[in-house]
Amino acid sequence: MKFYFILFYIFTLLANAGSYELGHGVKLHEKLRIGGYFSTDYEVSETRRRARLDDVAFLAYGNLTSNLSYLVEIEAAPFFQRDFRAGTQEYDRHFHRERLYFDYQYSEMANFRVGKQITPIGYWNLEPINVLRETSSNPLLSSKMFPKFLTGLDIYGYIPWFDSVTYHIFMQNNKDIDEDYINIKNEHFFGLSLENEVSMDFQYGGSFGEFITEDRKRTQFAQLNAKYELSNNLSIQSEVALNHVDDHATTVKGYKFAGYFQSLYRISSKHALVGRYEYFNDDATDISDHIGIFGYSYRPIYPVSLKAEYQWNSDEKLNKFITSFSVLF
Amino acid sequence: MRYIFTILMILSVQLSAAKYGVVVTSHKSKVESPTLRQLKDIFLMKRHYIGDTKVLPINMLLASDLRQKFEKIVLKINREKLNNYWIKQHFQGISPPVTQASARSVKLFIKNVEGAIGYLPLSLVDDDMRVLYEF
Repeated sequence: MKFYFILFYIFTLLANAGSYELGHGVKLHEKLRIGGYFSTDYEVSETRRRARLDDVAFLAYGNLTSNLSYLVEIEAAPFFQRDFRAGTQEYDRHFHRERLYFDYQYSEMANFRVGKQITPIGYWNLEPINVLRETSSNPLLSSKMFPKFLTGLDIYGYIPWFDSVTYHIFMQNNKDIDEDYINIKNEHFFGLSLENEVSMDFQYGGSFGEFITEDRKRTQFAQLNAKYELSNNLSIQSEVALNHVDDHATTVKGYKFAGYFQSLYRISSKHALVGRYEYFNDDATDISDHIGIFGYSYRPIYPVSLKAEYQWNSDEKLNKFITSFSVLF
Repeated sequence: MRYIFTILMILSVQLSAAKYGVVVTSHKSKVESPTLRQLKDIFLMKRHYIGDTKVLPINMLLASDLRQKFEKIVLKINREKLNNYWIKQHFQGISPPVTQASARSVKLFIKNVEGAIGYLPLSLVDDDMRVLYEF
């Protein structure tokens, strides 16, 4: 079934090629716009030399009524990968339900999103795909500190009397719609996040909440984020998160911390240099890591991204070079 | 000499005060006096309500001079940055506001569609419309 869906997709894109603009999807109807993205990368480290067709994803969305809209996204990742050093290769052509939700707009202060959605925390998590980022790699904060997805309810809107402040109250009390496709499997997840968009150039916010993982570990988290465009060329962004983990099985309690600071220098609209420093510490596993990244990003047009970066790790064996190519269509 | 200087001063003051257009809605709308921030959010499709009133932004065509002025003065964002913004919104499942081919069709749309908000040249504004912002 999914195969025919994808086939339909490709034919539709080709049929609309005349009016099509890359990165904006194809509007087939008031109630249906389709699009997607893919990314490839090549990684060289002491332990592996790997090429991947990492993400292959298709999305469809639209307005069903003036208040009700939907979004569906299916994704296969990694679609194909080959490790030249180990001589192995893998395929995963199973498309997972990455997002599947309905939005009901009720008022300026209260709107509702129901279904599987990106957890509304921070910046990195909300723009998780390769083509929208300026580095091929993700900071550890984005995968280790909270579930990337929520299968539940998010109530969101503007806070009265604070024109620029938005809130999200989100909750989940069930398994993920597609359990094989989430970074932290959980059955209970709730939180509150706030964001103050002072201007297009300066935003900050934070969140806190709790989740219980499949192996009965209760984690309380608190997170802060800020980004600032200092000039047309220079922008900075940072996020930090602290977890308190309570393992019911072993009665062991501990803390986990992750944070990153990233700066981006635009040489021109197409070329940019990026630097990032990350720190990660986990009491339970006794892992403490400092990571430095320096990279180059080239966008011939915005929805097409070519990137290369070198990553220095406090454990030198993990040092790596990554290059990637990604497209949003 | 003093006479010429005075004329130049008056002209320059008039030019600096010159308005390109106005953001308007139907006089039947409950939207009275949104802040500049709210207007900006509406046209960036971040905000769909003013209080309990549903709003629907209408854009003019990309090539329109008035649209370019509106983007520069009200949205305070350049074309390239705005295009990148809409590409990011595509991933979030959000499309740009609908467009109308001419100022007259924007005016008709605002008169006929409840909650519609658009921008027009001053010369097209009549008693059926409520001016929300001048730019």
